[in-house]
Amino acid sequence: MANMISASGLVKAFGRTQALDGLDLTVRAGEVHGFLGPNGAGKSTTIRILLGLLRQDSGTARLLDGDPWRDATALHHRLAYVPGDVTLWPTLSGGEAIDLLGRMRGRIDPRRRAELLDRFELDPRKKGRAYSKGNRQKVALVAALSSDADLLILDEPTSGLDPLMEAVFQESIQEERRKGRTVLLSSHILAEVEALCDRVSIIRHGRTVETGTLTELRHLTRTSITAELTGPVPQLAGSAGVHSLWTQGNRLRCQVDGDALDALLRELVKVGVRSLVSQPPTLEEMFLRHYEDDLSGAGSNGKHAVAQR
Amino acid sequence: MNTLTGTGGLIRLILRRDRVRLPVWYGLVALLVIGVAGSVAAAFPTEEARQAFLHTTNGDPTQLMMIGPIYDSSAAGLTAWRVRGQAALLIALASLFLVIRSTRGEEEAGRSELLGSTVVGRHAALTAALTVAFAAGLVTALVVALGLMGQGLPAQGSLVMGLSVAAAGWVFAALAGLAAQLTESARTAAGLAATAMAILYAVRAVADLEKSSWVSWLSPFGWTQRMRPFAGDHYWPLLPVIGLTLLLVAAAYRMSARRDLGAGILPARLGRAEAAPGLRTSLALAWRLQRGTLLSWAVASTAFGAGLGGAARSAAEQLNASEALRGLIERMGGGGRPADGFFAFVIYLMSQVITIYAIQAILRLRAEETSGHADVILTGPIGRLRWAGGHLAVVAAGSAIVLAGLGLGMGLVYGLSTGDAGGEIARMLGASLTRLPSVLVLAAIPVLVYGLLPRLAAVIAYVALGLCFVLEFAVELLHADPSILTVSPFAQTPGLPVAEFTVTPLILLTVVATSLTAVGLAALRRRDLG
Repeated sequence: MANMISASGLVKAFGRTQALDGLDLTVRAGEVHGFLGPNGAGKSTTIRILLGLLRQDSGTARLLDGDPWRDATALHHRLAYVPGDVTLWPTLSGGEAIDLLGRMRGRIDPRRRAELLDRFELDPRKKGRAYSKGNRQKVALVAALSSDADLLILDEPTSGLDPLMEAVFQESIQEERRKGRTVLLSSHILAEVEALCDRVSIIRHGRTVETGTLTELRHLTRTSITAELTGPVPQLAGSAGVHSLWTQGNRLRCQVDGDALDALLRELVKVGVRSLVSQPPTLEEMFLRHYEDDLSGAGSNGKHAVAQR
Repeated sequence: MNTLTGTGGLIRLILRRDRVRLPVWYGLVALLVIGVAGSVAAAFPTEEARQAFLHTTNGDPTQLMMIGPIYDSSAAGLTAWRVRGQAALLIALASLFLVIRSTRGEEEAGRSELLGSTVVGRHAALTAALTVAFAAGLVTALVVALGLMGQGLPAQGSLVMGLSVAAAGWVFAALAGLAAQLTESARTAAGLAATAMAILYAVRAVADLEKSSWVSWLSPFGWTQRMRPFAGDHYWPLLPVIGLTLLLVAAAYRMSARRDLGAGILPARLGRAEAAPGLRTSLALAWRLQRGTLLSWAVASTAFGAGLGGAARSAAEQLNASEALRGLIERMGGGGRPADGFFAFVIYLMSQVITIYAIQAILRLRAEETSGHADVILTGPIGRLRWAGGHLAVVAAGSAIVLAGLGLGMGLVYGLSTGDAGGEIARMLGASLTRLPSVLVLAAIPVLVYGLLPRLAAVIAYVALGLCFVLEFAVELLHADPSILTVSPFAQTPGLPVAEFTVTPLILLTVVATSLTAVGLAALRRRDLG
């Protein structure tokens, strides 16, 4: 089985709100897949469809070679889920919740459980209502990580964790990857995604706008170039793939599309290059670029107007 | 910043949020008093009948315990006696829940934090809740007074009656304000306050039973009783009432000033580090979540049954002495021992009250879904049917247990007085358990609606039960044609121990309950969750 999750053309509307509008998502076996998008883009809706809690209006979804809606119960033996907003039963202690979830799924490994509790510094005796948001998330994480599920679906699992626990979380996910487990990780913490994910999908308005490995995405997106030439900067404005051009005498700064990089460098070399700094876009830049429309739509911003020329 | 800043806004918030609940709770109190005033006059039309009733009642320990002595044999005096206990308990509960819901409840849900970051003083929530509760009590007092005067009762006594009811509301609003400071959980706070209320009511019961005036001074219920509406009309017992209320309010403010938001004065208890071996299925979880409610209902229903068992003899005589009430018993089937008519009637009524438990417990499904708890279970290898089925099984068994508690209590206490405890227990258990199919039909309504239109489940379930009560009152008090009751599932089950046992209606009701449940569950499987 090459793909643990494959969804195509998912559409879901809640009343007049269009939550998903033809979303595609493929998660391959053994990878950690980042699932990015701003609030309200449809990440949680997608995850709830994959978990069989919601049914899509149209499109197809396959999970672990089964139908997430029809075969929900059977498929859930093989997956574990950490919701973004973990709510625990107020009268059950964290330890009881972990044990209950583990036992319903099958066997629970007491050594693994103890080790995770220790690592996340979680007191399992507190009642559900006494935990902070971060600690509730730890309960759900310990329950999920101590299971022997093939697939982990994590919906913003670290939004309440402090930086120390964030590091513990990243370490634990690396471990899971080494064991060959597949992880779908929805997150807003881009540094976390860059550190952990093999591939990412970026969604917006219920549609997938970008998907691939970070390297692929970088190739597809723009590189920032800062250069000082030995002579005057040639006429570049209007060249295909060159954006946000700024020139002053012999110096220039611009952004260039991945496939136009070669052509641009040839032009520069013709003049002669004294220094050159090339920066691949950070995930944050890639992410923001996809949402520029939304941002500039909200307020008129000269910089973005240039960028979109 | 002033610690009371924002109180006005919070008062409006409470009034907006509880715009249905407030009039229903407090209106029910006023309606109870006014309604009973009308029916008592009709039930005991002559002075002789009332005198006779006063003598039996004041000599009957169960009545003294449950309500207290009658002070005056006028129709107004009997009214005051008849409703004083229930009205005081009902308004005390209404005020208690109101105050805890708007203070600790909001705090536990985290909404106070949101509000607290805006311009809201530290004592504003408590002050707003108490203000609404005190005002609601006062309005209830005035409505009761006007309602009683409207029926031609003396003005002075009507006002004292209204105030004596409101006084119980004030004391327990203040007590709830204090309890809300103690624990982190609204449920525990309500439990603490309700326990204190039960103990204080029991103190009053003992005092009336022992005819001991110093014991009765220990309970606010004893003070309000001393106001003696229509039998002396005293205002002075309001002084200790107001004194205690102020004292409790002052203590609540003091604690509220000393603690952190979200924290309680009593330390939160730690739970188990590991789950008990039995907690491994969704059924076990449903039981764990529901057992507290079930236990309280079972204990209350057994205790109530025991009280009714003790009251049965004198009650049966009263009922037979009253022309109007005898009609009710004849509807149950008539004939047989007089006490049996009484039992058949109260089991019929109590099964409707017990249905509140069943509906409440079914609605837990919806609460589990909206709180996100259901997600945690359903994303494990547990299908929706198994998850819902666990709760349904607990509710079905729970309803049987609560009904059995009623029968057990009745049979045991009544049996001890007749000397045939074993026989009576068996008869009463049979009679109360026969009502199970009716309860389950009403409990199946929220299952059906929960599957189809989850938002409306609570409303439709309680409206359906309310209709059964309304039909009963229409027949009882307005003398409507008893045949309209045939639409009520409660009128379908045979009125044991008087009527003959017939199995057909029980099978039919079970089929109805099962079908409604099946349709509801089928719809639940098809719809989106969350």
